[in-house]
Amino acid sequence: MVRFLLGRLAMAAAVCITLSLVTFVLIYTATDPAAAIAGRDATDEEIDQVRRELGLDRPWPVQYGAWIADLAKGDFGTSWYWKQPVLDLILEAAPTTILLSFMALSVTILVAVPLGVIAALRPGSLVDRLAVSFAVAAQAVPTFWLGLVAIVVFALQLKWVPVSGDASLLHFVLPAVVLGLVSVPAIMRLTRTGLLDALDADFVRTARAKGVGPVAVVWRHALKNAILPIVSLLAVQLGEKLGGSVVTESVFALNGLGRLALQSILAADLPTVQMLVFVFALTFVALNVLADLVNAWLDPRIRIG
Amino acid sequence: MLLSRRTFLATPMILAALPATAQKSRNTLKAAFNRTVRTLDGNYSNWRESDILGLLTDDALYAVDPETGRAVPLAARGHRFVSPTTLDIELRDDVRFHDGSPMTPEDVVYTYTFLINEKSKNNYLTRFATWIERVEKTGPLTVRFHMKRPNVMALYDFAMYSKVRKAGVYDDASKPDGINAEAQTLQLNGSGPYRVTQFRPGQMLRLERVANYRAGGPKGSPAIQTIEFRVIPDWSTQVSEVISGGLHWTYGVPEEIAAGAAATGQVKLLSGPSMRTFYVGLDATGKAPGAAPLADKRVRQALNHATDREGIVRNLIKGNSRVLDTPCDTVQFGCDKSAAVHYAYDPTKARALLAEAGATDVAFEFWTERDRPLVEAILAQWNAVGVKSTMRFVQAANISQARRDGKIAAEFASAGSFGIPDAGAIIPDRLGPTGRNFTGDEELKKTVVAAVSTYDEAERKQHFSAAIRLATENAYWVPLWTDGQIFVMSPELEYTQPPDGMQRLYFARWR
Repeated sequence: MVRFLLGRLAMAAAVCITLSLVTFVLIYTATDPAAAIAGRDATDEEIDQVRRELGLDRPWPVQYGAWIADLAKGDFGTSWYWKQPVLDLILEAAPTTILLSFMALSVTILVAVPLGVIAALRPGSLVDRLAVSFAVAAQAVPTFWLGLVAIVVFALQLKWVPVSGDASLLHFVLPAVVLGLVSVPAIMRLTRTGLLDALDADFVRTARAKGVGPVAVVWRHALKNAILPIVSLLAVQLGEKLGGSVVTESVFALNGLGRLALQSILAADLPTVQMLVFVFALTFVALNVLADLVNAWLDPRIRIG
Repeated sequence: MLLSRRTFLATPMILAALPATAQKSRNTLKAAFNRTVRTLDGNYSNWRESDILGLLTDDALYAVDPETGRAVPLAARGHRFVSPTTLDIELRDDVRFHDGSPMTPEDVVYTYTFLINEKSKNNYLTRFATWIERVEKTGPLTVRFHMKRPNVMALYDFAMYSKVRKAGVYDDASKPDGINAEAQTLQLNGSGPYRVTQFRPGQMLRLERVANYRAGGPKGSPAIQTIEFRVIPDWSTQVSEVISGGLHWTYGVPEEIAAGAAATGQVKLLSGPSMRTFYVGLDATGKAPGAAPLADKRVRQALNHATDREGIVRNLIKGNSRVLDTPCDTVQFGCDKSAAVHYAYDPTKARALLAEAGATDVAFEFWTERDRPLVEAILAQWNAVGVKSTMRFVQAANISQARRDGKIAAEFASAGSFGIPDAGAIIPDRLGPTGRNFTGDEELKKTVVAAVSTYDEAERKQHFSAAIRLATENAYWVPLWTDGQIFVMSPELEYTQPPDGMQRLYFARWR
């Protein structure tokens, strides 16, 4: 187990460093950070002034080396754009994204798993086709449009929820549903396929032969076996949501990590973008490790280490 | 492309039809910005959002009168040019900062000495350092500006580009150079009719009316007690908030989305002017890649004739946009429309001019960082006369860099003039001796410099007219249009938009 965790830690470090290097190079290739920070109407002199002030006149490998050195000392840096410690910015935005992500994931599980189960129990039936059609539709509709239509129906006409913002838990309901629905197709299809395979397996036939009821067969035997890949996929989905749901956060004016990332990228705010990428990469690795551990717990045949 | 996308975006708005619930209870005006606000200090931001806030939170020495367009005293009582390079300013004795302290000559001297200090790294350092040599206190309520050169725009510079700060506010011995440029970023000690009571950068801010703000000044007596700004990046969400009563005022809304909101009958639309002037900048020196044919005047004239500006404004931009022949907005002082050569949309003439110039293979990159559909329309029109230009869509920052590197043959550009109704706010920067002038025309540069080096209005007009004539006869640009701006508002709000395009929320009132 210790070897497994150490191995994953080493992988996390490698992923983070590689990603930060790629991010650094991409931002430098894509734009001139000094000009982006100086603003649209800035004069050449003002841009040069920003360049000198931020040390952007040094070669980029030197700048990258300095950033790594600071990080090693626990200095997360100061945002060029917001002029605040990057750690403060991330800590301020993180709760919004974490809450939104977990609410959205709950929506995904509550919708996708039952739909997948129903579809698998009656393969080829009308119910199955309806469930699959729903999943395809959910995947096809652009998130921003779904969000706007949801605002019109539920916030403007029915007035059940507020239009936008993050002032209360109620403000998160609509974005969580919209964001959660995006992940439904993948989870639903995986549940359906996994359950179909499991229902055909010998152990299910044995269970049925032993007189186990249909509900117990599905929930206690078949689904437990089908759920392993779903757990892994849920970890990836949660990672994506925690990595910032840029569109959803923008449509619903939520001040989370996704919006922070978007604003920072547009402003070429390298210290903030670098740290966000670092945090996102760590989150992904951590969630994957967690998924492995959960799978090992669910299936004793899986051994870690 | 433009219509389909925007109509798509506007669809949810059209679906909405319900009673407006805009609340003016608690006398709070709720407004939205589309972009982030990262600092409260207008001396460190050149964004329009900061301009809007600065007008509310700070009283500069001068203000632009929205009726006349003239610079009128605000924190100052008046001024006198002792010589072309010596300017005396008398201060009012009743201007107070939000901490209760009076605005003194020491504060003014400190502010402008700070603004011209290279170590301050403020956003307007270059603007002020080019003409202010030093500032001194000359009496209990008077200061004297010693200038490096005559500057007819001085009062406008005071009005739009600087905020007076309390003496010592940026001083911090613990910082490099003893300056804390972030001193007013999160907590502002302003002097305007509203003070900041809450600020979450990039998210929201709340302003409260100053109780004892002096009456009778150019900003009047604001009627609204509290103004709350939220940052809502999505236009449709902003408009939904106005429909639901969550917002009362938003500006710059795309035409289709605004029209969709208007269809609900629950919001009020105001189509206001803006001084942002759009043009196609051409490298008439022919040095940029692919720009060699542009060194020929006939090719540039052909591009002017090939551009159907009226059609684009009528069919794509709509709103309050106006077609321009001039390299400035005609509402600006000195922007003489009659001096400009008018290039009518005439593809046949364009083809003839290209043929006459022997320009059979004109192909260059057309750079832009915004308004892709409008640029696509221009390129399609140019393509129709045989100019095979391609669009290069990049971030604004990349254009700045490419411009400095001399890589831009043609550019879809704009200038906002900071709402200053004087051609001196745009022409010198774009056609004077600056890094943004690609005309290679020394006579033009001299004429522009002459226009801002005299205080004589008749003489200035004459120089500006000559400059406009030179620029348009030689077709250095393709002048396009001014930008309109659409406001979506609660029907309960009374708000008017002056021609200079600046948003002055201290004049807003409830019906």
